Amino acid sequence: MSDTIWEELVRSPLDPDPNAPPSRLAPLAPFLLAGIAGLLIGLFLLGNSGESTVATTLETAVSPTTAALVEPAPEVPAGYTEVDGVGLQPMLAYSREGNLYIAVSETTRSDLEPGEVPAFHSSDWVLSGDGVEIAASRAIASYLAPGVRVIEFPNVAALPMSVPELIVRRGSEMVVRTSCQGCGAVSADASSGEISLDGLDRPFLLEEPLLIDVGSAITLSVDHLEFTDEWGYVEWHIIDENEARVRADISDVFDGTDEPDFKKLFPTQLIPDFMWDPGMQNPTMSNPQPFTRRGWLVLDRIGEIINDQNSPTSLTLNWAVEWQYPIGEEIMLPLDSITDLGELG
Amino acid sequence: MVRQAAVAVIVFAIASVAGVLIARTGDSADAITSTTIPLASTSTTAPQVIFAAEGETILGPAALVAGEPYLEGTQLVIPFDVANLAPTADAADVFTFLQFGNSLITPPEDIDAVYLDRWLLHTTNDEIPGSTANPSARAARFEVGEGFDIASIEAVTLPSYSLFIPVESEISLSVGNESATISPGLTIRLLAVTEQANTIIQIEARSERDFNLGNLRISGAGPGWLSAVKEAEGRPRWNLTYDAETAPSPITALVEGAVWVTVDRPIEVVLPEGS
Repeated sequence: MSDTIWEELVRSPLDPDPNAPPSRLAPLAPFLLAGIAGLLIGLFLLGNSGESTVATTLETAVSPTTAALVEPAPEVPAGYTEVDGVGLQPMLAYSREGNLYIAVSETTRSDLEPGEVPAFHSSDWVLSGDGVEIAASRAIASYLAPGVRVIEFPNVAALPMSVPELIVRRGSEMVVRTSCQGCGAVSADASSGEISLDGLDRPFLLEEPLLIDVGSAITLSVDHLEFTDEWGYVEWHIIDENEARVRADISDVFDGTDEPDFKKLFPTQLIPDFMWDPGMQNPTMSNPQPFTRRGWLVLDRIGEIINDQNSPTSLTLNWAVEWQYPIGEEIMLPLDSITDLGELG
Repeated sequence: MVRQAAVAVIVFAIASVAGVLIARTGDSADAITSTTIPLASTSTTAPQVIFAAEGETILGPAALVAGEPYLEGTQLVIPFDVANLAPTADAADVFTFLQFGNSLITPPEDIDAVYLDRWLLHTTNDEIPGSTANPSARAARFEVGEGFDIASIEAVTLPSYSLFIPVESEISLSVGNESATISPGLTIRLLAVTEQANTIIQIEARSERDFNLGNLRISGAGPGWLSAVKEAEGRPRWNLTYDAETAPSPITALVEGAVWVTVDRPIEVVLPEGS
């Protein structure tokens, strides 16, 4: 058997046809192979260095031109100002009892999913116009109306006449509480503690302001603390001259009550009434507490009623505070297209 | 042959360096968050955009997408959809306690942000008002009469629309000052005071609209307040309990929740191509 016949017999159908004319690309094959090998080795070396961006950048490198031509630029709707993937637009204003309220609408940037973008949480809003700047007292939100925030400006009777603008700065970082159904966002900046109250006298009335150092240069002054066995009331404000805004959760604990030996039960407490919702009695959720410089809380009893058989051995004040500082540049929101509803009522 | 091998080695070296450099472009955090993944697609169609696309009308935090108009008897119907564009990654599900012990959980993205209650159909020789039944309805209806020609539609506008906004107001009521305006279209009034061991103060909410009062909550503000209970049977009345034989003066309360407010900003509705 000649070599030619033998080679013909053992030739795989996948082998190139020896009778076919040589490919014009054949001379380039070594260079192409070298290039591909080099590219892969380069990427492999970087992958082994512990960096994790290879996959996405490789995809970018494969077809950058075609897709770049068809992808629209991410944007917020016309008239909205973008801040961190969220478009903001002042929609309407009204005044009530000497305070001005401005409703600001929020939309998600076009390339982002609304369910994956947190709302704009800052409480640092300033109204500018008529040569003055007025700081907002709070940004009102409701779980029932995501996408709209109402900013309250105290002691402002109407919108300024001269080129009014809304100025806002980002708030320090917020995080999402995911393990709690029905809960909204909580701040990453938070602290908590407890204070033993002297005596067991009830009704209890705080005689002088109670100062609580909550950290991050914030001192909370509890100006009014009053409670009975059934209800409580707290007023507080920040005494420091800084830009912090907080929301405070304060409760009274009747230590030693509600079968303290049975550890599954909490002792009787007075807790903020906004934590009580919703239920058969008041079926609508409370608004999330705004970040402010001062606030108040109505406390309501949870746990067994206080009586001779269920009497506290001591009293403890529990406090938990979240705070927010403005950060970054000022962002201007024009008010030229706002709907002014004027003074109510 | 030697020359070919040398060139191959050079190409190999250049490609290796290029591979490293390409990969390096993704090192920084900014680069990682850039839109590299969509670019990997070789599709010639644009990636899905959530709004700002043709056919969408932005209304506050929502986008309106109108459908093809059609006739139903003597009515012209324009079906539409409303997408809530509000950022909701950290928003809570809304838990609503209903009658008879039932409850309802609504994800934030399903909440109606706008109510398109007023429509106007502009034809070659007429303007015909239309409406939508409620905030969740997704069809606008116009009474156009017999023989209406859809081709005569020149434009469709919303003369105004309603926006669902948060409300939170502290109010002071007393005998002689029994009512307070909370927000546009919403008034609270003192209905009754029953002085007893624990005094009961009844407060009523009155709205220019009748569908939003399930979104309100009223409770006492200040020292001495006990529970606040909304009346059963759906009436918009709350009974506030005060820990004294007489009512405080003034009576202070907190009204919170969300209400519908009219935005008087006429907007043209984008109809589908060929309508």
